Amino acid sequence: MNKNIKIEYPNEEIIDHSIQKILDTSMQNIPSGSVIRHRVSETIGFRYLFFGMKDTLSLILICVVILYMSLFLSMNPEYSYIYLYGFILSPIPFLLFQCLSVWKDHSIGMTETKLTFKYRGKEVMCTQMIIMTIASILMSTVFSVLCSMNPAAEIPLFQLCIVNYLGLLLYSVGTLLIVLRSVSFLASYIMPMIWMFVSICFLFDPQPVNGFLMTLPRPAAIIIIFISLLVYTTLLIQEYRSIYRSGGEYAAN
Amino acid sequence: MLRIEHVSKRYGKKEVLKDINLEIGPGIYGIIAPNGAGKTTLMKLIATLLFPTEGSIYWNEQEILSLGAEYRSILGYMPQKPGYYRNYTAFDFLSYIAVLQGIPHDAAEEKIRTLLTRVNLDPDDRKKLKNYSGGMLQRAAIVQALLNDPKLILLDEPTAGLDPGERVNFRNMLHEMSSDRIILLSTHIVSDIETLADRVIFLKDQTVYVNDTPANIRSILDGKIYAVPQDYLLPHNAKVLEEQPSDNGTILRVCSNKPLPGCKLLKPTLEDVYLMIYGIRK
Repeated sequence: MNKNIKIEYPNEEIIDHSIQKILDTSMQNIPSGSVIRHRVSETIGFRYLFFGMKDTLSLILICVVILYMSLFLSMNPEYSYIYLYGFILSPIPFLLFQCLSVWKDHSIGMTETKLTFKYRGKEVMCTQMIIMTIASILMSTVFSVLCSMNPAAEIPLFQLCIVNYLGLLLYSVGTLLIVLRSVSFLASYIMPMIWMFVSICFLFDPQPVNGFLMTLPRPAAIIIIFISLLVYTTLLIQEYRSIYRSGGEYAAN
Repeated sequence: MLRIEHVSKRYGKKEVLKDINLEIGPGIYGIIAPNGAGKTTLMKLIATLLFPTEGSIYWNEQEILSLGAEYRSILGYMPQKPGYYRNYTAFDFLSYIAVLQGIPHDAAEEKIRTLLTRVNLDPDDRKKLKNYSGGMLQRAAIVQALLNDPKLILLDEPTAGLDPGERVNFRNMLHEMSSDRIILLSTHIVSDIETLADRVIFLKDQTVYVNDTPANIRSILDGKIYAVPQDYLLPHNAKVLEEQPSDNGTILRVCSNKPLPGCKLLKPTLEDVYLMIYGIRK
């Protein structure tokens, strides 16, 4: 044993502080779902999710582009890779908006400041995700309906919807898993990069993937969608809870 | 209490900060160093925007990175180049920041109004930020950093762009707030620190060079600063700090270890110390 090593024992103050910390942490109630919803609506109004002319215009532009592509694809009877395109395109509104928001904050120097705030913008991003997912589901449904209305193409609406939702939810879950577990703002770009890379790889040889998606058994697809939804919801709830648990109360009080 | 223990920061092979050790209690601390000397890096490390390559930073004996949102809720940070949303009014922008700081709506509105009045921005609170002058944006950024009533305030070059009146107002505001919180002020404008800081930290060679009260630091040069006529024959080791034009020709402000007979002895300033430490950049 090295007698030169001096062991510093904690003093009364440190011990008291540690005990108080343990008590504070362990005795804190985990807020219920309704309390969380109330707090989110209290602290984050809709107006803070998508603000400014640029946000609004970019959202409208994204919707117009997707609708135009849907119309174009639905009116082209020769089009044979519709399932693959549906799968790839379904998270596009989400992906574009996500990249635009991060790029906008970074370009005006807000990213750094936001990272020092109590909520680091993750809470806003989570709520944005819910809204963007709902918007993407609506867009995917419109896309699927338009495509299936083309009698020459003979596309079953249900199968196309399932494929679209699958793509969207896989992307959403991937994004949540990456973004919520990273502190860097660059994490927001990882999933879009992965998605674009995978999409380009698929487009080089679209036949096998399109064939797979076309013949994907519906029960299997529904199970995957259900599991993805479950993971997505659980991750969001966990994030909200952890934010409120670790955040404590307003520091000024 | 903020404690910085053996903190170093390297970017690749470049060492920006080396073995920084500081214990910081309530009061105003001025970090002085020339541009590029690591002030902003130190601020970012304390703001958890960067991770130290070595060492740790503690807030009330707890490692800041492990405290997460709890630490950020007591932190107010104003970066060197504050960002803002051009199309937002000052009030809306600050309301958005209040949301991210988790401040309840009613409390936020009251706090924003109080702070905007304090920095004389209340008449312009409905103006869009794109129509603000540089000084007004700087004041809005100061409000942003103070919104959550932080216990630890980090201000990186906060007075850049402020006019003399705004500077005085800003100093008074910091002075009022400093009794029960830590204010870290990074600047290369020595006059900002001179009258305001309780302690001054000079960074040199990537580490803490001096850490003392302004009076103690100034006393290093007691009896060594002289006003000297331009044609005076200076001793070999004397250093000219400044040239001041006057009615009787140019007067030199000189630091000399040896007494300069016939020359007027001056009170040393922090700027003298700064110039002795870092030299004059031409």
